[in-house]
Amino acid sequence: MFAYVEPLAPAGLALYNTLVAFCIVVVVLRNGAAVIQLAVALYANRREAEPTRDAFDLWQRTEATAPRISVIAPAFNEELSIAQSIQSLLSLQYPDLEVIVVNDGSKDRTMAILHDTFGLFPAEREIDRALHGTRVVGTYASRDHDNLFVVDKENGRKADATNAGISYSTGELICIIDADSVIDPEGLLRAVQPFIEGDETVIAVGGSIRIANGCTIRNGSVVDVGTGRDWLPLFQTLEYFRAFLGGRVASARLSMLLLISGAFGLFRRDVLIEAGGYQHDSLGEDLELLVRLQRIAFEQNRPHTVAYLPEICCWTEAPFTIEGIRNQRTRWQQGGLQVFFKHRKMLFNPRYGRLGMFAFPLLALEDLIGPIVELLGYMLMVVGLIFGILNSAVAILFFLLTCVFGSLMSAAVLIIEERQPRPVFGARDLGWLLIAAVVENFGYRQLIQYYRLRGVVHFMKKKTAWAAVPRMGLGVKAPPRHAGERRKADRSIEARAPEAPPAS
Amino acid sequence: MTLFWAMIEGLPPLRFPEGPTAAVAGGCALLAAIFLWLLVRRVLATLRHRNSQAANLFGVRELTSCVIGDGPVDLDHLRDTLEQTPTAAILQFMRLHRGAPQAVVIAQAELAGVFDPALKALGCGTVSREIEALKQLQFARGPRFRSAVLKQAIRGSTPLIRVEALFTYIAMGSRPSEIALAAWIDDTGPTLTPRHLALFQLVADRLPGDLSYLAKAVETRAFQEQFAVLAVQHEHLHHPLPAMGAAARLRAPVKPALRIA
Repeated sequence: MFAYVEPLAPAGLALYNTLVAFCIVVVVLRNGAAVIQLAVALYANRREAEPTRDAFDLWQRTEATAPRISVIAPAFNEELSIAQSIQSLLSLQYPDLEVIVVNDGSKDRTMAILHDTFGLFPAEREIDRALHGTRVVGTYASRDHDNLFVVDKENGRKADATNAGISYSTGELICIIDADSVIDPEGLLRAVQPFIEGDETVIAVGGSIRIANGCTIRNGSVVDVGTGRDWLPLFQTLEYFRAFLGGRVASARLSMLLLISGAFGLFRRDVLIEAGGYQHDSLGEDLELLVRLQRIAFEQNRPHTVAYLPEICCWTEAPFTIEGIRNQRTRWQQGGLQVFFKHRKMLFNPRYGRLGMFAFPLLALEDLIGPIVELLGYMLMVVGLIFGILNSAVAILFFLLTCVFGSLMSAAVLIIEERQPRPVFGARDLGWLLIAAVVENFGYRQLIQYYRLRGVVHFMKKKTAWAAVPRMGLGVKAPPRHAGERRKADRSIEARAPEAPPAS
Repeated sequence: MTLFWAMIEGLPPLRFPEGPTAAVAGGCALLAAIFLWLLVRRVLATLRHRNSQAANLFGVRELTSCVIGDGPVDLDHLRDTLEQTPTAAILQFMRLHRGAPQAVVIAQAELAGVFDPALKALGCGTVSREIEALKQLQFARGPRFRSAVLKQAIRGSTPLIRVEALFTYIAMGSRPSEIALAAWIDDTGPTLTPRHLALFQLVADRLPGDLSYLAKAVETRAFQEQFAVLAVQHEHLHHPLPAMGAAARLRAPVKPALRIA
């Protein structure tokens, strides 16, 4: 033992030990939950039937009974990509598909491009219930595609635009997809299977989100899977694997799924309408929606199922700058806390089943207690070393153990990834991912914890501004490597990035 | 910097406790082993994928040249080709072709034992393997394949296998007996799902001239929807009240039965 200062007084030491014990309990609970989730995911992966790889098979089975799906694509200032995105959605393989584009008061040429590309003409459509809060300027059908419908409305947030799309939809099922994401062509055919094979209790189906940075995208579909060589997207790829192939699979299997990502989800329309669609004022609107849908179902004593199919793949672009990650993670954290406090009645409430007894406490552990304890742990380590309470060898070993544990978790999800029925990375990309699984423990994880803590602070200060996350655009293989170029790219992207929607 | 080194030199030597050190070392070794295994597996899978793609393309081309063309098919040559062609390529050929070329390849493939591994995989207990086997067997036509698939449709270990097996059975051009179909409907649980619709639609599409058979099976559980079978169902609903009772249990609408009642 080595102390730089005088030892702590007994009262201080007792406080220190209590805090350390608290931190250890939280760490054990969090890691225990992660291990259980991973074990369940591995079990499910081994036990469950391998989904068909063949789109032909899926089509043949689905064709006779395919419920109509309305794909909602909200768009705001997307003149650069709107035509390609909509073409990509129109070319999805599905027997009965309708695409509803909602122009959310874009200030650029988005609407003009839609007019020119798809030959729009004014068309009326009756709606049974308006979920949106802003005025609709006009509605249009297309001369070239009879399954395309465009709603032009005043600016609101993405949630409002999506609600407008739901209001004008005619499908039994609603597919919510980000306009800047790409879904595998047979994704809808896969996603609809639980609705066809299950009974009427299925209310929503989610799929996995994958990082598209480093992939080659042509004509709106991913033709070559890659990771690129930049650390930030590599780290995020691993994070997404852990979330979508580990945690979500286990949560769905245990009927504890709280989140279907806003980038891709399929919902029953009647359930969405009944619940009033997305909440306009939420920073985590996707999380909030699914929690609310399930809460309503529990309160009405209605059996319900939320399915999750990891084989459905939606490709999205990850932020490639520190600023982008900071804004994204801060917002996610705020959103999580908003949802937690809004639905806190569900916490340890047996009326809400496993959702209340397990999923919500886990949300509290992860989003509320987790970031604070993590920071507290680092502070206690420093204090312990300074006052000579903590053996430095033990501190180093403890840190290394957490690193090995984290890397093993990543390795386990990469084993699950091996069995997925879709193109996987080549050996070289896998090698980079394996290196990233080790490297991320030294700096990146701590940074993410700091951003999450920042989210907690923003939540407490009630900051609700939606900070933009700079994007390069799908299919752009690598961001600029040098810091100067990167800053320049950020500035140019921010110049065309959507404005932060008005805070409510 | 000097101050830093002075501090480092002032530190006592680190003494790592044995237990946690062993845990870290063990974890690192396990991690290295997993990484190595993943990498080797991925490299081998990539090579295998490339080779199999080339072999499949070549196989399909060979089979096509054997079967399609003027004059009668040289069966000996076809048998030789089948023996050298990977199963995936043979199945791909069967997917791509219809009519006489498909029939002759199926017949020879059955004789050459192409479907035997799939037949053996039925009932192996692994759901994914059984489903994969059923997908292969949809091209088989021999009675032993049909009876094996029907057996799976009725006694398969999970509902998923039973559904797949029944789909396969119908895709093989067979029709299950009314009893088998009714047993299957009973077996899938108390609620009628869109999956049932898909099945009946499939039967109706494949056997348009024999809807009364379908209607009999449908009648068992008073199932109805807006399909062509409805008219036939009307004719066969001799006892509407029991059908209504069954439908009530199923929570399925029985408009025809109600009208008769």
